[in-house]
Amino acid sequence: MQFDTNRALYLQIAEELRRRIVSGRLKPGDRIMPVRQLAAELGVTPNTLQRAFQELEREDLLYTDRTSGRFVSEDKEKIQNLKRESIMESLDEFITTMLQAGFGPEEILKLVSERLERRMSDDRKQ
Amino acid sequence: MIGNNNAAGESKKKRRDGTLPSGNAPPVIETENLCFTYAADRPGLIQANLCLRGGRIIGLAGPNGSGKTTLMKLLAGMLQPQSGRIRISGHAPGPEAKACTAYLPDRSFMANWMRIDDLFYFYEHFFADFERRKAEDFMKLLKLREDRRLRDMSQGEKERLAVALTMSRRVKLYLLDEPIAAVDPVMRELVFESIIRDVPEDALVLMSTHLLAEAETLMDQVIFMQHGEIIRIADSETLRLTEGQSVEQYYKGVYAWY
Repeated sequence: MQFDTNRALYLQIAEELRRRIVSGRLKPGDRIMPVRQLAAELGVTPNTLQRAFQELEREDLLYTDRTSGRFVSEDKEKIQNLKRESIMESLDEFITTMLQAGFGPEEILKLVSERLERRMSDDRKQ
Repeated sequence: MIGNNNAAGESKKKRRDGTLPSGNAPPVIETENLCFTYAADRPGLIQANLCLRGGRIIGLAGPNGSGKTTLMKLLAGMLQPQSGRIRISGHAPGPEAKACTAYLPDRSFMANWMRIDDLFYFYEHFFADFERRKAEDFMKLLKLREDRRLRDMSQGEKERLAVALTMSRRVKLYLLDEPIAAVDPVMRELVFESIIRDVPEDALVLMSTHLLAEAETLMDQVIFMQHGEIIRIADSETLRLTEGQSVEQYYKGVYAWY
């Protein structure tokens, strides 16, 4: 993994794991690789990775079973919330761009629904 | 609801900063007022006081001649201190301390006529904790054939071999003095991976390197040395969190003053 070494690595790893959960690369109930193995793969120390895990466990996105390992939460609502949160940011960005470009609220909504309709019909055709 | 969660998160985060696990583990390296002088005008190490516990990888940084290799050699039992005290896993310098230490010197110690499998044979007989299987796996990973002779190997290949031999021992303390100076970037990553994967959980790795930018993600803490003195010990993640600086940047800042 490429890191920005000016920022705490464990936060960047936590972000990456959240991204993987949102994108579905890590699915509910999936087992997480053993610490040492994943740490080696990411190129960080096991302590740093452990810290990232603690972060996600506190957010209830991961949980540890003492005997069988560490897993992605099976709480669908929790994961849905995470997806929503992660999408809000880009949505806000989009709104800012539109407002700055001089579009009013109604115009924005109209444009979005037009594009959305077109996308849906394109998808149906495929 | 979300706000509450974040607030709780913040306070926990604060408490965790800068703390590493195994705070109660017995120290692997302890030194008290450790001193070594090569000549009156050339001090090697001045009053080094360290207490380092296992379960972490610690970097040793500093310009040439700052005392990194001297400290390594003292800890490895290759130099006798003129004053001060050393304990390795509780043992005074001697056979017991050496038995818990795997030392990778900064210069090659291997004879040129040897083949890789000769070295395996030697290691097996010298070190009861040497795991030949592990060394063989390393060779595959690092793409070295065991019938190769050292004289036919490049500097980078020899370094890879030396790391493999050192990491194939099962000890409490790994002392790696500039382990990757001549290793190319692709192989470097493999060497790092194997260091992370193969160190026993409670062991301590002390690794000196000039390549801080390349190696800093691998270090839980960094010891900064200058003119034979330990001038600072910093937790890498805390530096990034509180200073917003990489270890390498911090290093440049530290030495700008000296």
